[in-house]
Amino acid sequence: MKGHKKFLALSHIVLIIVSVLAILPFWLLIMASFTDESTAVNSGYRLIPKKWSLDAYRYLIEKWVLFGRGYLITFFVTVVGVIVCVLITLMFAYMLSKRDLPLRRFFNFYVIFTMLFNGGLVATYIMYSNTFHIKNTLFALILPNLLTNAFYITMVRNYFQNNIPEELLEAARIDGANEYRVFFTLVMPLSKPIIATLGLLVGVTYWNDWQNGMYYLDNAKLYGIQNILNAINENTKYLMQGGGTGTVMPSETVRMAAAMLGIIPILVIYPFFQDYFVKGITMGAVKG
Amino acid sequence: MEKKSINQKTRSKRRFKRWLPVFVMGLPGFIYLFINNYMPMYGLIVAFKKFNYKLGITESPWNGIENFKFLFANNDAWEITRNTILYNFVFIILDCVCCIALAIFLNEIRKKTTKKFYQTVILLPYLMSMVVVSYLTYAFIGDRTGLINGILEFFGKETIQFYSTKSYWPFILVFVRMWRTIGYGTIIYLSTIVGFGDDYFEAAELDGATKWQQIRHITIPLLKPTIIMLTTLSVGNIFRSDFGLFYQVPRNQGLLYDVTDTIDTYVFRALMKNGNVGLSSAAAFYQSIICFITILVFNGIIRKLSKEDSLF
Amino acid sequence: MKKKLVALLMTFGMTVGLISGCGGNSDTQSKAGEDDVYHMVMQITTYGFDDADLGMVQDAVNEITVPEIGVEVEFMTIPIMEQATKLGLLVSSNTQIDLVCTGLLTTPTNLVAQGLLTDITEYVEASDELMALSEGILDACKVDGKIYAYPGATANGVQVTYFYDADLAEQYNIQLPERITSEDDWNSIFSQVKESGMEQYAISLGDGVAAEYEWNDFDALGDAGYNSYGVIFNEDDKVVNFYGTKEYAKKCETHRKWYQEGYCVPDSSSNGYTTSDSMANGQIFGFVSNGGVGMSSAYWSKITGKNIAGIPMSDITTTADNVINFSWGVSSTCENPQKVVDFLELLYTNVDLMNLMNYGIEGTHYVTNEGSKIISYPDGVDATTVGYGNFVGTYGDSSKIYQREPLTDEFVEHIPDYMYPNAATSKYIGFTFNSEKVSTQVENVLAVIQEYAPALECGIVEPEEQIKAFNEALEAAGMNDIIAECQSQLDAWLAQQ
Repeated sequence: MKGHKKFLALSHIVLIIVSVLAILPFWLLIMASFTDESTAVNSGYRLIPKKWSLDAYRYLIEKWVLFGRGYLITFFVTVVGVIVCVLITLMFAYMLSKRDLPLRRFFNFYVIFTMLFNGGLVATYIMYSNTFHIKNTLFALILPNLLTNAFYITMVRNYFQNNIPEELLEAARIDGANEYRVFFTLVMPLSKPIIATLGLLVGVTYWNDWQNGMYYLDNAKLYGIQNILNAINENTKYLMQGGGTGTVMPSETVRMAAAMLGIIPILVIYPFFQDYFVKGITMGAVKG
Repeated sequence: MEKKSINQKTRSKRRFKRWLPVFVMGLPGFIYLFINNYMPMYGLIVAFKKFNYKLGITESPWNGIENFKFLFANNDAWEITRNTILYNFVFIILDCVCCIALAIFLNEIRKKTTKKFYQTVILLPYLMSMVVVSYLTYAFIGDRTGLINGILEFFGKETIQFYSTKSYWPFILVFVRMWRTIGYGTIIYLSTIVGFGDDYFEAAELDGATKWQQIRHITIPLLKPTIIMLTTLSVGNIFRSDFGLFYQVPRNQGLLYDVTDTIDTYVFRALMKNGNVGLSSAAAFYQSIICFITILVFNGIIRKLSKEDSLF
Repeated sequence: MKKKLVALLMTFGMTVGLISGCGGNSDTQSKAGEDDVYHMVMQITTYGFDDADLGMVQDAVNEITVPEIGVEVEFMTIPIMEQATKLGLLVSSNTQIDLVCTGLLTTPTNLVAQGLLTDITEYVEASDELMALSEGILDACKVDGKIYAYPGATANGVQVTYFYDADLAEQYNIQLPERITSEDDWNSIFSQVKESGMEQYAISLGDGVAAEYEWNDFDALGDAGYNSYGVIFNEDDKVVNFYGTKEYAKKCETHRKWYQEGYCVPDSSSNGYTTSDSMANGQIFGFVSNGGVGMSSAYWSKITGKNIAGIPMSDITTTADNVINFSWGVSSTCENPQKVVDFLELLYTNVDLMNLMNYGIEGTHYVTNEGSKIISYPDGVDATTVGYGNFVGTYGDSSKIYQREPLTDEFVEHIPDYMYPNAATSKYIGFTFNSEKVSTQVENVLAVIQEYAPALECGIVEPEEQIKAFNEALEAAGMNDIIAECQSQLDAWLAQQ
């Protein structure tokens, strides 16, 4: 018992150190977004800005209409993407987790192979835009390269194999449940931890994705929030140089503020994910 | 004879009936991978072509191994390959050790809110884009304005020119990489540990096992499949590198190329100059082949050692 | 990227056009009926956001172009960061795009190699106006002798200039020469700045790229910024390895001295700020850049928020790089190149169209001032709230269009100085090096240059040994093959002239 306490203390110490390391730069990011641009250039960022400024946010707020729509689009895409991704990943992984599945090695290889070889951007782009015509639609933000991948599938398959005993499922089958029933009423509830994890990872990927928008949308009206922030990020350097409409703009602090705007919604939603996650834990999962 | 074949038929019919629902569930994923990953694979031939957008992939003229020459006919080929592999090797080992340790520590915390706090916080860095990470790194180690040099100056010590000194960069890059992704890996391991339930540990506790014994004899063996999975997948990417990390964070400083340049950054710089899709395709093809071989070998070894845990 | 950015800077704002022949010129198209109106998609390169009133301007443009030449214009905005890659994607997905920008982050040569442009030789040559407008500079837009692009600007001349903060100069009483010609001039300025006690550095060398502006007595033969094809000094027809010359060594030594003396910002190569950023943020007293029509002191004042004045360091010259920067091309999937070239002709000759595309709608986006070519924002509108104007470059003839404050009428009078034939044009402007035979060497040489040059040119390292190592690496990468190939192509080209 004493050993246990010591270990708990050690855990806290390590986690506090890691947390500080994670928060410190994040704190710096927040402070940086409130720093006066000229101060930032001449003396760098400080944990407390030498000179405060709201210029970066003022600049971003001017574009507010744009952001509102961007957030909505990204939110929608993320929710749909996560639900679909989790569902098809779980089902596919469930198939792979059957140890006596016919052609099992082939299927496993089929998955891993996709991780190693890909046709490259041009081929993928041509296929999606010329065969499936998803250009300039919301599908473009959901389908390409995001819906599932070898990593997620393997991760979930592993979880099924190690944490859900086949005997349990067999018992249900004997009770007359068919395979779909087994999956949806038995496997899914037992998989809460991995669903929460997968949902989180996929959600973050969807939230942060801007490449699909860049490639498949010719029309800024469908831009998600990350596309907009990225456009600010990437184009500010040109804006600064080329003049554009020709006003001095806080380019670097704007980048920091834009990064903040991208992260904040995740921070708001994340604890809810956590709740789910924690529920999975307290359920005690599987009695193996 | 007759009887046997009927038997076989009914058995295969029963077999079919038994597996059908499972295959139906697997179908959407199967189709998606086919469309998203296999259908565009003909694009691999771009590596052997003088690519022309107007003509498209199939019509563009072949040019043999011309695109590959660029990768090998230079003095840096060895250097960029070495960097890519060595960094990945270090990452694989550190990922394993740090993330498992952190997951175990995190699992120890019973208080919900505290746990929630830690979990949220360690994932923070993963949410930042590499561009922002590069700015934050600069805020710490900038030559003139960085926090670290500020502190050194305060104590009357000589400042360090990080961005023109090669020797610091292997450490800086490894640190930044670990800092950014440790939360991600930890959460994957944690979900597996949580999935085990508490029974094993409670039983062990009753038997008077120390924490260390529990970790060694219960946690690690239970995590073995996940460790092997994550490692195999990382090994399968040992020839690729995180572009943002190696390009944005060192701020593309020529002086540092010896220790920061990887295959991906090297190819990117060439691409920026001439927009030659063939070159980057050739590089990607080369990386894929090497990764393919590596993963086959690695998986083969795992199969020999413990068939259960091999990926395919 | 950064090198290209400099190229962008070099010609930013340099404008278009010459003679105003004015519309309704071509007898075949001028009375186009409703039926043969061609719907044309035109690239508008933006800084990331679409203007609120873009559609309004598009409608106004069509009110001119549909009756005049039977072309209905649709704008397609492309953010500048995607400018080099987007065209390839559009062409491969058969998305309609007709008139494209062939400069900025890419070049006509690159685009032609990727099969993205249509040969427009016959259409351009058929237009007297377009030929006359591009006299002396059109050669820069040719690839293998064919016209693939049209110069986006006619006032392409640039003058290397040391821009400085005039207020600081007055406050600290810095004595400045009329023109900077020697190292002594530099030393005199820099030592004054340092001793004056101001907190600014005398100069920023940027990421080692801007430094090249101090040199304008060579021609980079189409690879400005990298000089990887070899360069020619003093128009003597001899291609040499730039990095092996004594001029280069001297330049590096000078910069090393500046670095050691503390004249230049010591961390400029890694701090991520361009020279104009540093100026805007009050970090430096001055910086070197090209000056030109779009890049006058007034322009820099606006960009940096300081009161900027300039000291010229060279004559006004034009190289191929300046010409292609805002050039227009016709995409390889365009169905009617004739109509697109008709539109180009109108764009370069119809003053109303030029002003409309540049400044938007009079009264809404700008107001004119009596007796002046300088326009202002209407009441209640400023640079941040105006509904039109977020695009890269300018349209039309800069000697014909309005100019915006803070430029002055006096400056407008000088615009012809930056145009052909007043601006000295490089002897080699029509020569484009075809690097196909030595493409592997070029890639490798570029990699070497990016590794060594910035540190040397920012003065961070001791030049002597480093230059030696640099040149050894260049040789191993095949620099000599490139020089030999370039020389033989140049000889053949010269023989033809």
